[in-house]
Amino acid sequence: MLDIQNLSRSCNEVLILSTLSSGPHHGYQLAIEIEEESGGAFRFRHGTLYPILHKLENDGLIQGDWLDEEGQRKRKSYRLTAAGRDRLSLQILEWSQFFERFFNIVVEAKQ
Amino acid sequence: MKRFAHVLNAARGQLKIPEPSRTRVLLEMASDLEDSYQFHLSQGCDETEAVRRAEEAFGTSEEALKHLTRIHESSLGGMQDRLSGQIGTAWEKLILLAIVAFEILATVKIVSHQAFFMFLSPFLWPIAALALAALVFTAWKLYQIFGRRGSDVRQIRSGLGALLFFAGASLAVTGCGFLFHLQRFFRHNWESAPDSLFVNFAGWMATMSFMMILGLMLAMLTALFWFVLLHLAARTERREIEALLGTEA
Repeated sequence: MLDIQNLSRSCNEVLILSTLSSGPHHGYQLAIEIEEESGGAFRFRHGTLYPILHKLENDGLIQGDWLDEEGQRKRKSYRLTAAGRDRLSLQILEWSQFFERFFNIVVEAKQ
Repeated sequence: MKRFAHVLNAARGQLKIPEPSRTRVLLEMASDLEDSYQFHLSQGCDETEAVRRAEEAFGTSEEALKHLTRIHESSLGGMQDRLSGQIGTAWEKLILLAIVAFEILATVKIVSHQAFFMFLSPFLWPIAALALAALVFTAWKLYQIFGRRGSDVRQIRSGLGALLFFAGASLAVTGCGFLFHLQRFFRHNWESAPDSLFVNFAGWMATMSFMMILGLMLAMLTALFWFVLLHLAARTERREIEALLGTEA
């Protein structure tokens, strides 16, 4: 069940985990992709990403490695771990239930 | 990448975590800032504008840095970093070197002792294999740090935990070996020589102690290698970030 007090943190987590489910990304790339995919609705200051990424990494949900991309600088690239994939599935379910209940209340109020 | 030195220096001042963790966070920030800068250049901005936009998009808040501090303070990596950061002065380095040298000499002394070969337990082979693996791994890491040109400072740290695994495994094999031979000793001596059990046991302990001391020494030596490499990795990372920040000594 989603904790209403930590909705913003949980939202950031699920956004990052779902973006990483498509493949490894580095920090800057993650911020840009989330912003583009959401049409600018979710805009991260890149510097604010680090606490979220490092927390997820400490929890074993993502893994960060310094990778050597051909002809480019080394970058810290994050990928989803098996535990991260499980957490993502759970979070998607929790968010679906959350929005279902939320709209039940909102739509009822409108009628 | 010195163009972002003031942003990174400001973040460095606010991150109250052990130096090795702080250096790694700053290296990551520097890399992302550079990516952002390159992106804005590719969009047609001039250099000054690209730097301004990269800094604007970056925007670490005080709250974010405090959060980052809390995460790294409580992590296992943070604890390791506090440990490796304790070797700073020349005296501390000298003492560490003396301990390593003593450990190596004591291990060689045990192995070269005649009594060591009187009882060669089969458990010695896995202990020797673990020690050899630790030695090869340490030599490879030292080569990465000192010998190989173009080796990446960010990858020096990778896999260092394997040394702790070797040390733990060495201890576990030594413990298992001791228990195995202990139960064998009592099984053989309990009925055949109950009167001289304790005399025989003292003799058995003297023979066994070589294997046990060797196992413990090798485990300690492996753990010391891990500690030294952790310290060297932290020092190399610190030099890299100091070059980026323009604060080299």
